[in-house]
Amino acid sequence: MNEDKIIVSIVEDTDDIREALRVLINGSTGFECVHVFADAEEALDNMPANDINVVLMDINLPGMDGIGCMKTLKPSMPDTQFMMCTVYDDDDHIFNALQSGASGYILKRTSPAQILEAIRDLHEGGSPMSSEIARRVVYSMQQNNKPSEAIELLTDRETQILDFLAKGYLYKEIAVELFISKETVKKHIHNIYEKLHVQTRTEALNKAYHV
Amino acid sequence: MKIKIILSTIAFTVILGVFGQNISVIDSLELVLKTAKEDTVKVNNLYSLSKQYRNISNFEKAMQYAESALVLADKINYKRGKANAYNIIGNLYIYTSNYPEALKNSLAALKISEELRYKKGIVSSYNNIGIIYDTQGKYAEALENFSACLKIEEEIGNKKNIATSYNNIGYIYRNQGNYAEALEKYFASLKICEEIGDKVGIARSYNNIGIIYRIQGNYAEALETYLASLNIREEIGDKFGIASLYLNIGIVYGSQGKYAEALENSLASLKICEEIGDLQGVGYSYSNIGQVYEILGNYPEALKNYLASLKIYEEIVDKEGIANSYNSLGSLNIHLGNFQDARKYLDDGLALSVKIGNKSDIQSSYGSLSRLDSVEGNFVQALEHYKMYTFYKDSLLNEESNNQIARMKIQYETEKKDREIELLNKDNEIKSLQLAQQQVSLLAARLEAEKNQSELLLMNNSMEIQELKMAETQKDLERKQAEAEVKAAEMELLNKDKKLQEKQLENQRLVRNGIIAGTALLLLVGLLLFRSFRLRKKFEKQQAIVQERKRISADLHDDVGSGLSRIMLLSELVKKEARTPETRKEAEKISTISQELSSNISEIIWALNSNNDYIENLAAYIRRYAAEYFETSSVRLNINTPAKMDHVPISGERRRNIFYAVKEALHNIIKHAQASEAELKFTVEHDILSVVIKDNGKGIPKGELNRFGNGMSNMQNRMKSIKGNFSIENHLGTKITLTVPV
Repeated sequence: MNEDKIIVSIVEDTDDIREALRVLINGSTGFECVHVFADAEEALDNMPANDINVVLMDINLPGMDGIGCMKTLKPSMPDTQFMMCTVYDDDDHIFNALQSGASGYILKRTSPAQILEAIRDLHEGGSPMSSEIARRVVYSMQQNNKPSEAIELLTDRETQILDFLAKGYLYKEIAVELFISKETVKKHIHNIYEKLHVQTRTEALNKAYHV
Repeated sequence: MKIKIILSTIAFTVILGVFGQNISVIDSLELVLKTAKEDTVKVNNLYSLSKQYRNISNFEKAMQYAESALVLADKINYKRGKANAYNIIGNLYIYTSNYPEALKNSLAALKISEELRYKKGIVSSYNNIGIIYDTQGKYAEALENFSACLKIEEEIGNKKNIATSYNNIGYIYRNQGNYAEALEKYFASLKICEEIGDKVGIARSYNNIGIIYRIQGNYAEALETYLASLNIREEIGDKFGIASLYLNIGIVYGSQGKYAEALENSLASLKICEEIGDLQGVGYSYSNIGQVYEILGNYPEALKNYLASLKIYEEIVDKEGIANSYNSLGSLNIHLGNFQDARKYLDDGLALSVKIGNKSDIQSSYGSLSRLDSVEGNFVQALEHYKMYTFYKDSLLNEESNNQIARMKIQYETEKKDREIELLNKDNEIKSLQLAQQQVSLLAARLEAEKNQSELLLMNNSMEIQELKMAETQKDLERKQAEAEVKAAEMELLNKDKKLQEKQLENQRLVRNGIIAGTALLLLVGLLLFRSFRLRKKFEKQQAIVQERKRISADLHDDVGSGLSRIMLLSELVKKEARTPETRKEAEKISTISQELSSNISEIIWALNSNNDYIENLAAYIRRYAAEYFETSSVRLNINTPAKMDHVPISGERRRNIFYAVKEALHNIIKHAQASEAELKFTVEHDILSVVIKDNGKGIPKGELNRFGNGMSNMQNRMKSIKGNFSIENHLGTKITLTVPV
């Protein structure tokens, strides 16, 4: 396997889309896609634990959905990034997925070129976030933690960025406002997701203790 | 000649906590602890409690909490907590003078912190290790550790800890006899502590500066700085520090010949050190008491105290202390006439002092040896030893050092005054740096905009194509014709290259069918919307509308949406496999159209969604829409939204109408205005939301109002339907104002 290539795996039930994505990814330099699965069950049985950099996971799958599939796969694939795919800005599902361990999402209406860019971004530590998702992150951090802890959890910079996102600023605009690069903005957002995940992990742990 | 080198006390601490409110902090922490779950928070609380108790010199309690923190951190595998616990345990062992245990724990902490790259932990360990090395007389190693601390603290930018590091470095220089360097570091520490109002640090700095003054024989100033330090320490209740000061003050009084006061202060120190379990302090106190008794001629009492101090030093393996006791005992035994014992003690003391490298102790040994030689009548050797004594004395206390100390004092005073000016200059520097950075960002943004120019052209083309296509697909005839064309093409291509072309055609047909299906679905959507509108008119039932909208959203979402996605991806495949530029271009168009249809549907879904009905969300949505819409255009859009918007609800109907009106206005700017700049501004005042869309374009010429009539009356009707207002000004561009009560 070529080390420079980003190894992508696809879990998608629509045959046309899955095949088209596979061909597109394989046809682009710097990307490779060998493992494709039509549903969660197939992915759980056959997904190789190593070597996969990014999994493109459809949220809407027959049987177990994409979020459940990711949750199950994630512990055995700690170095793999999960990118959720959905038809439209389905905020409930997207947020749920992000809380459960996904670091990115794309809408299926995204152009193929942008899909590839998003995969590369995610692989390099950047994450996307819409204003609606930003608001949810802020809300969820406030709900699940005491105010003081929520503030401690996020750095000042991260809070600033969430605030701008919630107001509808584009990454580029935030970068200009804060005198940082667009890439840095993306990295901050990636870190915010990481903190969302951590939060979920402690929750799970606490529940286990109560049993 | 009688030489007295009086022991100076250790007076540097690594206290990081806040004094004064310790008791109440402890109370509240202990209260929290009672109900706490076994998690990282509890570990941190235990750690904090340990620090608090250390700060009020209750080392036993401090150790209990530190050990509990370690056990819990280990149990829940909280590594940072473990590092902290090991460090505080190491630190507590330093306070109670158990250096092997201190080193063991500090090294354990260092290992974990380095694995985690946990800077605060690393620095605490270095600090502990530096202190331990110092007590072992390994000054070079100690200096190395403290310098590493300073470097990391400067990276972290914690001023309080930077001051502590300066202090500790100064202390090592003092032990090496480099008083000028020592004073420089102490003043640097004082400066920072005063800057940040750190009382603990100020008291510590005064104390240390006083020690240097005392060594220099400047007793009046030494006493003055000690008393300033004592004042602060009594205020904050720092027993460890108070004991040190009593000891130091006692030493000055002894040097001034005020023996009663010297004894009084040393005994006060001993009492406090025993109370708080500071063994090193107990050792120092015994040493100093012994010295006063020796001077007063009470040799039995002197011997008793010296031996007591030696016992303690040996117990805590304080080499400096041991060397010092040897010297004292040597000197005392000369008085007692036990020359053999005296020589043994002095030889051992000298050897140990040389090994440690403590110049003042070496000087002391040589002085006593010289006296012993002359008492024994060995004048040649006495002279040799005396020469060594003066050599060390001079190197410790020469003119150069004195001058430097004086210079330091002046420099400190002037620097204090210059600091404000310096700060002002720094401000200006930062501002100019920010300006430069901003210019770079702007330049980058402009370059990106230029890069997108060609894409813009493409987009404009496809928009027109889309309109044509829409009309096209509405007519059955043309659709049939298109199908016929496809078939004809299929036939033709089949002749040329059977397998490849067949596949390509299949894809193409699929795409076309997809487009047709997509458009039909879009029409269906329009129909459904219309039906929902009539439903509302008929029944006026909000509930029914919500249900209907949800259903439409779901339909759009699942069927139309995924259908369009498929079209888009497949057209991309066709594009890739296309053999002729024409096919390629066609495929590209299909892809663009399906993308646009897709975003249109996305907007419809947003408008139908009745969930996020707040005014700030509407502003955010429009803001993002506008920014994205203008991103690839040559028109610079300036968006102005209030920094904070009230959490005012807004109905789905209003939200939808405002959005479409704004969209229409923005669309006109891009399509017709020929503007270079535009502005979108939201304000909420007196319960009225107003949106202003302004541009610097050509305005709407009188004769062409008809052409725009449709869009204008559309906007007007939209605003009217939600009891809002629409106005247009046509002067130096166009200014549209939408207002609606909220």
